This record gives sequence, C-alpha cells and structure tokens, in this order.
Amino acid sequence: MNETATYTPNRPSQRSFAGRPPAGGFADDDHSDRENLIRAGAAALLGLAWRQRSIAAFGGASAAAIPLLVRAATGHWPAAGGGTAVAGARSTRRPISVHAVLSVRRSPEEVYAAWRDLPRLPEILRHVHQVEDLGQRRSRWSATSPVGKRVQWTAEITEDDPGRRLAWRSTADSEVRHHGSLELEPGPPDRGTRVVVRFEIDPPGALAGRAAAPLLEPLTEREVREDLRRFKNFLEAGEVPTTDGQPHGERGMLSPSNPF
Amino acid sequence: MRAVCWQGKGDVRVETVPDPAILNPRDAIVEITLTAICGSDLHLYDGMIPTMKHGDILGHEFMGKVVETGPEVSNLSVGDRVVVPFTISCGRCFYCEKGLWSLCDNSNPNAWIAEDAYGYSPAGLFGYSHMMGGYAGGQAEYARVPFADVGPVRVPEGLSDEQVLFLSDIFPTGYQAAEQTDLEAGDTVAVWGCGPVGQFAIQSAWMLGAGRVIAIDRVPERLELARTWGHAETIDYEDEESLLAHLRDMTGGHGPDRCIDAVGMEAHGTGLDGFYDRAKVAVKMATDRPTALREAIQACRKGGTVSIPGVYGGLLDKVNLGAAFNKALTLRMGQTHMHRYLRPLLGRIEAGEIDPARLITHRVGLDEAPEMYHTFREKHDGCIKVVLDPSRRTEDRTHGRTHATADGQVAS
Repeated sequence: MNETATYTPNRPSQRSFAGRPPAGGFADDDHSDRENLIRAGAAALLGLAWRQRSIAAFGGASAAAIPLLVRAATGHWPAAGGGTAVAGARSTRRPISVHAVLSVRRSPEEVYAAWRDLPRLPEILRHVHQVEDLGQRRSRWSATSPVGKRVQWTAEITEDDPGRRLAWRSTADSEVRHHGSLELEPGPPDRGTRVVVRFEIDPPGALAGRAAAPLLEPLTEREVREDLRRFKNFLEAGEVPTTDGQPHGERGMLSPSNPF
Repeated sequence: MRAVCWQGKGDVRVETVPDPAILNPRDAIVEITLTAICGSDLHLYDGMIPTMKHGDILGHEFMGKVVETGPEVSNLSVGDRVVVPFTISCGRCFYCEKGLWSLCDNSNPNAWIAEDAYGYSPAGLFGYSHMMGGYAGGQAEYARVPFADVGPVRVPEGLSDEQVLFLSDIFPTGYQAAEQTDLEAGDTVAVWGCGPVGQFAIQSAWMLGAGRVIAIDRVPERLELARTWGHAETIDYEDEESLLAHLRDMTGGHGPDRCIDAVGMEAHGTGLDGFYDRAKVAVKMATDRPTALREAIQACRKGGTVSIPGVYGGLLDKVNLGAAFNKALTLRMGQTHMHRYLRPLLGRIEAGEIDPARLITHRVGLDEAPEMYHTFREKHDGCIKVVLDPSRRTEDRTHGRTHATADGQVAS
C-alpha cells in the first residue's frame, strides 16, 4: 500500500492495437497488483496536487496524475505525444453502452403509459428540457448532455409492443446519434414491474469524443440510472424527491476541510 | 429565519437563512415550536459523518404548527399541531408498504451516494448529511416536511410540547431497540448507554415484559436517572473484564438474555481496545468505534439477541463475530421504522404510562445551540437532553453572530 509505483508511460510492450492486448499478453504477470498500484499512484498524485499551495505545483502534480488516470480508466497508457487520446483509437469508433435496471411498483401497462406520455417526461428526467411529439412515431428532444452541453435530437420509434417493449433510434440529422430500448416484465406481486433501459450512444465530435467514450461511460450510466430512479420515484410516490431550493447557511469556500 | 448550521468539526452557528418553501406537491411547512439536539447530532458535530457541507441546517427532532400545505396534502390543515418523524417515507414503495419505513425507496434524492457506500439507499433523513438526502433540518424556526401526508402525527390538546417532542425520534428509537430484542416475558435485558435513547429503551423493555433491566454507563446523573426513572439496576463500568464478570454474576452465571447497544459509533472505549479504535479512526482505516457492541456480543447469553439502535455509519474493525457465531446470537439493527410507533406510543403518553419530559435537563433558545452542543457532548452540567425553543430570544450574544435585539430585529 505504501510502495510507490514506478512506471514509464508508453512502454512498447504495453501498447496495443485496436483496443486489444498484444498477442502475448502484457509483459508483467501480476496484472491486478499493478492495476491497484496505478490507481493508488493516481490517487496519491491527485491528493498531493490538492494539497499544493502554488498553482504550478498543483498543475504539475495533476499533470503527472493524468496518464495514471487514463490508464486506470481505459486500460491503456496515453499515446506517445501526450494528451489523452487512447492508443489504437484511430481505427475504431467506440459507442457508449449503458443499461439500467429498476423495479417500479406499478403494472407494466402503467409504466409503459408513463414512458409514452412524452410531454411530461421533462418533469421527471433531470437532463431533458423539452419533448415535442411530432406524430408518426417521431419526437423532438432537447436535453443537457452529461458534460453540460445542450443537445437536441429527433427520435423515431422502431418497435412498439405496448406494456412489453419499446425501441427507438435517433434520426440521421440528430446531433447525438443513439438508439435505445425499454423492456418491461412483470415482477413478483409485491415488486411491480422490472424495467430495463438500454442505450447506445455515439459520442459527438471527432477524436475527443472517441477518446472520451470510456471515460464518459460511467458518468452516462450513472445519469441514465438516476433518470430511471426518478421515473420510479415519480410513478410510485407521485413526485421526485428534491432539496433544490431549500434554505442553508453560509457555504464557505470549497477546501480540503469542506470538500463536498 | 434563524437556523443552526454546521460549519465544520466542532463548529455550529446560528445563522439567518431564507424561510423554507413548498417544493413538491406532498410537502408541508411547519413552524417549529420545540426541537432538540440528538446524540447522533454529536457525530455530525465531531466530524464523524461524511458528506456534510458547510451551511447545512441541522436537527431532526422537531414539532410545531402546520403553516402551509402542498396541493396533495389533504389530511393536514393549517394550524394543526404535529410531531414530525425524523425519517422521511413516501408510504407507497415496497418498503413503506411492508412497514419498513426507514428503508423508503423514494425519499433520498442522493440515493446514489448511499448506494455507493451501502449497496442500496435507506430513506432520507432530516438534517443528517447529503448521503441521507441533504434535507434541511429542524433546529430552526421553520421546516419543510416532504411526504407530509404520511409522516407528521397530530397531537391532541392537553399534552405539552415537552411531553410529545420525543416521538420525533428517541422514544420510538428506544422502543424499537427493545422490541427488536424479541424479548420473552421475564427476560433480563442489559442496556449499554444511559443517554436518551438508552433511557427510552429501558422504559420500553419494561413495557414489553422484561423481568429485569440492567443499565450500563459511566456518567453519574445518567445512571441515577436509569435508577429513579427507569427502575433499572445499574453498573458503573470501569473496564470490560470487570463489566463482563459483573454481568455474569448478576445473571446467575449465564449472561443477560437480551442486550441493547444504545451507544453506537463513538463509544468511549477504555483500555487497549479503545486506544486501538481511536488510532484506527485517526488514520482512517476504520471509521466507527464499537466498544459497546463488542461488549454486548461478549456478554450476551448463548442464543440471545443483540439489538443495535446504533448509530453506525461506516466500517468497524475487530468485531468479535466469532463470539456471536459460536453463541448463535441474533443481531437486529437499523434506523427506526418511525411510522409504526408514532400513534401507539402517543397513545401510551396520553394514557399516562410514561412522561418523556422527565428526560429534559436543559431548556434554551435557538441562540444557545452552539454552546449546548458543546455542553451535551462533554456531558457537562449534568446534561442529558437539551430542548430548543425557537421563540425564546436572548438579549445579548457574544462572538459577533446573529442575535435578536430587544425589539425582535435580527442584528449581528
């Protein structure tokens, strides 16, 4: 736990093509210990950065942490020349795949009907501002992406089995290309309906988008899971729990002793 | 309004903040007439609970008058006098419907934080960190109460605020602790901790048919209250070895049938055990100090029950699970399922079976909260339970914090 990891970014034996490990596997045998050391190293460097009083020292420590973070998050060292482009990403597009499962204490028909009540969805889903039903199985959506960017798309329903399955995809002109599905299954009597939501999203933008996909995936999966939770809260309790707008005292400056 | 706000470890301040507003259709706003400081607030005060933010309003034991209701609240009217349970429950999820109110699926807006820590999230709580929902608490002049159609219980005329306030948390908590021992008539129940929850656990153990109640603490006035109000036999413990021997001798050599840990994560811990716990917490390899829990497990008779009202938040080290396993103990625990107990226990108060006001040692205004946190924590001045009356104003304040002048204006 206290050993410092010595590493050299871009060791040739660890570079891979198209996201696959080299044919002979990695040079070191003990893979998982090394992963832990890498994570510990990244955490230690970030902790060190946090405690620095000078911007330069903070920047230096953070910068040193970045290759470790990329390695920990993606499984690959950053490519030669720095930056955070994933080695081998030149030749593949990697969509973000997320799925979330929750039980909602309503019948499948009620859950389905709520999902199809498009203009109400912005009341429930955190990142969706507006949904316009265009008719003929199409709808226009405005939302904020997980990284805070405003996005819009047109969705078209590709499968519709009321109370059981709904599938949709974005139309060709959409900013965010994705497709998704909703599956509903009756659960045990007390539990209501098992709801499975799946999305595959092509991140917008060129190299940055492709590189960011594995880093964004946990963020996007969390957002989808939270939206599904809000959907459950709304259907079961009639409202989404919130504290937005409640009073509080002086917040003070964000600092190590006031980190949250 | 004025509110008691957390500003870091050992630092609470009365600040002027906006009044709360209705945010959701099932909300109500309560004007607080009486509130209290809980032993678990001391874990916040001592910086033991993560995910607090500077400025968070504290307090989860409160009651008052309804001054506003949201459109979906039809069971309460403006002017109703209510006690508000500290756990927030929607009343319609799997858990609420099963009577597991403190496990509500729909009342924690930050459920994802608790899920990361615990696997799944319990119900939201008033004034008890962002992991538990980040709800503004009730050590204030007003509070917003979510799911007001489910939580608050109306109080009849003829009972004073002091008599019913503790329905908000500590009476049901002590009662559930005793109920969860699954005691059989005539059993011997040992209670670690003669603080407010322990005192109610003692009272409740008798109500549920205990044959003997043994109360364990170090603080003279708390042991005294356990004797005079609780009719318990008391042990002023010095160290674990002599405590265990004492309990063995008192029970004919087999140990108490049921044990209640009403101490929780900041146990005092004498001896090497306590030193070890404090060291581990200091280097963050453990977060909780479970001395009382270890003793309860060690002392309990074979096949008995250890009931844990807590509070525990994180990770324990060196807990004697071997003893629990080999003696086939049952461990029962959890935050209180408040809504099960509010009306039945109100009934007991109305019937004169118990006068919870006996617990109160200190009665002050909101402005005294900062110094009372300190007094309560240090157990100075015979402090057992502090109640705060927001309508009490003080004429002078030190330290340049907000205060009320003689004509009721706020100044600093």
